[in-house]
Amino acid sequence: MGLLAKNLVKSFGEPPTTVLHGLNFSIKEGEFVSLTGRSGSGKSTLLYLLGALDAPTSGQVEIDGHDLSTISSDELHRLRNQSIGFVFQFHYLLPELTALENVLMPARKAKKDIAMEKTIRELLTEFGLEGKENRLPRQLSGGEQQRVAIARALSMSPKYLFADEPTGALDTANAEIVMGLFEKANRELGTTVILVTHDPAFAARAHRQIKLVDGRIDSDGPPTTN
Amino acid sequence: MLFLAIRHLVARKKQTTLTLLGIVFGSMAFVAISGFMLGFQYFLLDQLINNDAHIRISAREDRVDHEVANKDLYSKLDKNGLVSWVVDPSGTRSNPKIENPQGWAEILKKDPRVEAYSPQFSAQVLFSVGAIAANGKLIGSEPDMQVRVTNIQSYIKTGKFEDISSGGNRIIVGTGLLKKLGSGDGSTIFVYNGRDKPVPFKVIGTFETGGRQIDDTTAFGALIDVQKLAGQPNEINNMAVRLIDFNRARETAHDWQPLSPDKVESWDEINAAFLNVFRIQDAMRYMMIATILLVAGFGIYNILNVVVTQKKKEIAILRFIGYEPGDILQLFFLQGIILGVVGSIIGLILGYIACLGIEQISFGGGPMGGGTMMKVSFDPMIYLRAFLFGSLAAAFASLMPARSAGKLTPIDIIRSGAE
Repeated sequence: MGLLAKNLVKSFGEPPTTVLHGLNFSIKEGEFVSLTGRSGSGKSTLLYLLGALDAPTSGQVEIDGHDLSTISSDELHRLRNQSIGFVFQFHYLLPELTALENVLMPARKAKKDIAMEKTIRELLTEFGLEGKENRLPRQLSGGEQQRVAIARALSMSPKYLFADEPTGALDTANAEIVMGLFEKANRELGTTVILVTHDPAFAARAHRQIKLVDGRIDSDGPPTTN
Repeated sequence: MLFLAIRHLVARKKQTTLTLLGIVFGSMAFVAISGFMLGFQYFLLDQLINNDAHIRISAREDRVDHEVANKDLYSKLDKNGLVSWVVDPSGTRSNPKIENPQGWAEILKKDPRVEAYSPQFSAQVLFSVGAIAANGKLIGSEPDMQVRVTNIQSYIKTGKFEDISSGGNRIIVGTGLLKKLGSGDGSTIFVYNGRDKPVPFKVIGTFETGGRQIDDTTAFGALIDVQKLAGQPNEINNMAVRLIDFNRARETAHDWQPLSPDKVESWDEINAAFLNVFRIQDAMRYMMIATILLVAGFGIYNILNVVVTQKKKEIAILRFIGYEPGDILQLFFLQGIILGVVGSIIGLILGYIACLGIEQISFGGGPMGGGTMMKVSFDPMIYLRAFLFGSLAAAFASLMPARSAGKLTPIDIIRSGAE
């Protein structure tokens, strides 16, 4: 079913400043899409609208045929918990919890934490975090923290993974590892990945690139390297 | 969310400890102050209820004015309006007495609420030994009936209470009174009724209730001896009644009052001033505790407000992984509840220890001490109230920060750039 954006408009402030101007596009299930553009072009705002974190000023977003503006609060929370994963530039981990506990938080909300612990441990091992499950975020490196955040985003096997400049705060080696994890999730699990990035090289690794200029779609197609 | 709430509290040890201390001190103060004050109150109440009658029927003290005097002394002349007074007479009738003691005895025997009663004649007298004299009260009673109405038997220090009726003019004297007179067991005390010659009474024992107002002024004698001393043989001026349930004293007294012109008063009516002091003490106690808990509550409110601001990033994380506003509210509200419950429990334990300490303080044998130690109440209700007040203050104080945390949306936090 995928994602559908219809006449998506987003304005802020009073008098209103329009950041997104009537965007129309769709993203199919299993696609790997990069959202690119300069700072202030509206790519993060668009990501939050598509990821059900924010509501458009007008227009609508549909996920799997469900209009986000009409679904109930319970459905919205279930969607965020089970169908959507988010990764940000900064790791956004709960500092009081260990790596394992952080990754288990979405499962804990769904009351599946005990049943899923073994799977989550395997996921952490797969992400190169074996032996570090019981460490607090401050005891991990930046790259490890980001991998824990990605593991948490993928822990419920979501259909959609939204990433907002996930490599922005990482060194080249760790950025490469993170990109590898996104590609693997997309390839092996069929997760639809929508990636906001400034880095043309990473954007080029997506199947499709949507470039925004001043809140409008400048180009939408196979990635370009420039 | 309990798991995360506990992790939050453990992670910020210093703030948690400081907040906890507020509740601990509040609960501890409640237990210690209430234990001390109620111990004192219960002690006095016990004295009021068990050392004296639950209901006292006493002779009415009729006021005498010119109308009464004219009617009694000059009834014929008064009818013609020929009596006039230069100075109006004023006072009370001498020798007040219960007019129909037999009638009262019948009523009391039949009433199922009555456990026992004791006819008494009490007289204000002057006790003297040589040149030393002291004012006081001599209570005449039938010892076998008197011991069923009050606890006097348990306060006997020397001698036997029932011996006052074996032989003539024997008394049991309060230890304070005997000390005032500089006299001792087995000595003779002269008792003066204000009109006739002093009469010698032999001291056959002593009692000590712990209440100076009784021990320093009172002596007990046989009913017949006191009636003779007062010059009112076969008359009584008091009827002390013990009920099966002292809580029904006021209601019972009101039932009996219309039956006779005699005065019928329950123990709580007689001691209304005392009980009012207790009420004022209670009000002060609650105000004091409310102030302490209010300060502790503000501590929790302030700290949780700061914590909510500091934890915005974590709130955003929880929200975008599917946690609902109610979960976030619960997370912070639970922290307040945990602080309240744990702080209250620690406060109760410390308060209990403080009460054990207060109990060991010697108070010089005054009315508060009964003997020499302070009286402290360990009534479970004190502990229950302290626990509830502490927990509720904490819960109430955490509710507003928790609600404000629950209202935060993930996108607002992300946009505000919370770190």
